[in-house]
Amino acid sequence: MVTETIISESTYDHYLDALLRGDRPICSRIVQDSCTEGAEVKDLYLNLFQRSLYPVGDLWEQHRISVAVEHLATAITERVMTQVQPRVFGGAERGRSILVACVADEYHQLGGRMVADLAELHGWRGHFLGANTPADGLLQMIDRHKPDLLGLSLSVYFNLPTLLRALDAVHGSFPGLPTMVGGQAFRPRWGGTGALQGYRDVRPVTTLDELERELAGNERA
Amino acid sequence: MSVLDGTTHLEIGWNFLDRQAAVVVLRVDDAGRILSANSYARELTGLPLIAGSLGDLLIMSTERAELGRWLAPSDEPRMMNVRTADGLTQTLYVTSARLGSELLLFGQADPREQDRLRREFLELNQELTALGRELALANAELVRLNGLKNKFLGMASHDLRKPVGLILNRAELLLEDATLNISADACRTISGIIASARSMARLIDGFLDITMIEADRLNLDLQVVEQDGLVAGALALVQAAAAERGMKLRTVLDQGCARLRVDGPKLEQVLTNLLSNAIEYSPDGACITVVSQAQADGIRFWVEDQGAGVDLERRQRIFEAFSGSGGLKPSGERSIGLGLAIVRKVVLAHGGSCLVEDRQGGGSRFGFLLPNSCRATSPKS
Repeated sequence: MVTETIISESTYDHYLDALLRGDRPICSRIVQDSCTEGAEVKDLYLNLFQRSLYPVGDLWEQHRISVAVEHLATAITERVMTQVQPRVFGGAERGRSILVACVADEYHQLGGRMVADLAELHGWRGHFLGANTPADGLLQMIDRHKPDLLGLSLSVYFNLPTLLRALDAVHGSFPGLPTMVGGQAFRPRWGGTGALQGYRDVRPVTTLDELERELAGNERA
Repeated sequence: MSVLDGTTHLEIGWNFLDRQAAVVVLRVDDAGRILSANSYARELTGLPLIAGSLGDLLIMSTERAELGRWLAPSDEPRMMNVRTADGLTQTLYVTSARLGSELLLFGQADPREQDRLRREFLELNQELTALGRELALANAELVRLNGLKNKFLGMASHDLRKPVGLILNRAELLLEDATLNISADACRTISGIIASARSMARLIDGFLDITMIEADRLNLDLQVVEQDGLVAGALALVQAAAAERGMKLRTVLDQGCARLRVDGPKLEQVLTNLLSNAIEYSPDGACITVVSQAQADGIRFWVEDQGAGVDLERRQRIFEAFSGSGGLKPSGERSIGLGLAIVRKVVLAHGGSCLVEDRQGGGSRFGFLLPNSCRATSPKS
């Protein structure tokens, strides 16, 4: 969790409770109130949205909530992120861009969307292709936007072969394109980031600090 | 009893169907009357069901004679669209089996159909959020471009003001200097230069006003002002233009709003802009009237002209900036469409609203409504 936050534990608990109940209006109101109190976008993304989705994922994996509850929690989170979206754009630009996508058959797009938005807050142009991006579509978009950095998101470990094939395709067509890879699939219980060894120019990024270091490093390069 | 005993086996199975299974199980007679219904059926429909008719479940009320398709025994699932307790509809695929004089109906949703629907909704939701992101990005870009536009307009207008002012000043001096012995033709030429320079100066002032307003620098200085003085000030500024065209300027002012709490200079500009437009678009010799009305919902100001009127379609956008862009005024000057936009911004800043309607007897009434908070005295009862 980021050190500086104005979101209290009781606010977080209230939000998580509403999220698990599928109470979109309450979640929306909590976000609106937090914005009114001066919560920054980064604070909301990390200490409310991301933080609350971890227990949702855990409960689902433990069969303690249904897939319907998990889907609804994800949909509500996407909706409240849209509430905050206007504050993401329009800041100073650094002349750099990142292209973020989920590989084919990967439908969990929230993490990737957060990365694109947080890059925008850093003054980068964040192109977000969304969920289930086939490899040829990804290559076309890289060719069109010519990003300084590529971000690929993987939430479900079983889609790892698809990710590796996408990396092969990207680096075959765009050798040397700095690429970062992240998502829940790389948590230690799923084997960590070992599968990425041997890929040059590919770095696992699993925390915000690592993301910010990656952006700063790319700017210096 | 052993669980392999057939009776116990059936009881276990039946109890599961009756109390837990997500399958609708109904016992009905040949007329479609419901003899028993399992928990899921009652919960799904929100109805007691027993002693009711099969037709009660359906999305359209159905006569018993039309229930035949479900009352004939069949292994082939037949579609049945039912009303649910939460107001939605649910499609069940129903098979039936005869049990003596009764029918057993089993209905369930198609899991493949539901999976497909779920996937579609997920993808649609994701596309929608991606589009929402693109929209927010486009909006941010528009705000940036609007800012650039205002900055450019402001800079250009500021830089043009001085040279135009010099042209006007020098031309007026030339005309006033009796020692120069200028010919009549030269006088007419210099008068034309003065008229054009004044027109350009008004344009530049309009650009500067609108950039200030759009940059949100419209800070109101609310003071108590006399209504008569406010209107007189605006009339003084347009008196010369009206006199040139032989027009008469009249006032009909309600003393129930004799004192106002407003930004006097800005409201005077509003009245001046409305009067200028009225003079521009009325024929020579017309009568222009300023009216005020103190009413229960606020204070109305009107400027009435005797021009050609404004068609309903144009009224929708007439107070927007640049809505007159490119068109020619009766005087031949090009209309940029800033005067009424400035009126709108100032009136909105006061918490009011702009008005336009036909004038009885021909012409138009352009005006605005100020809220009661702009009264400096108590409203008349």
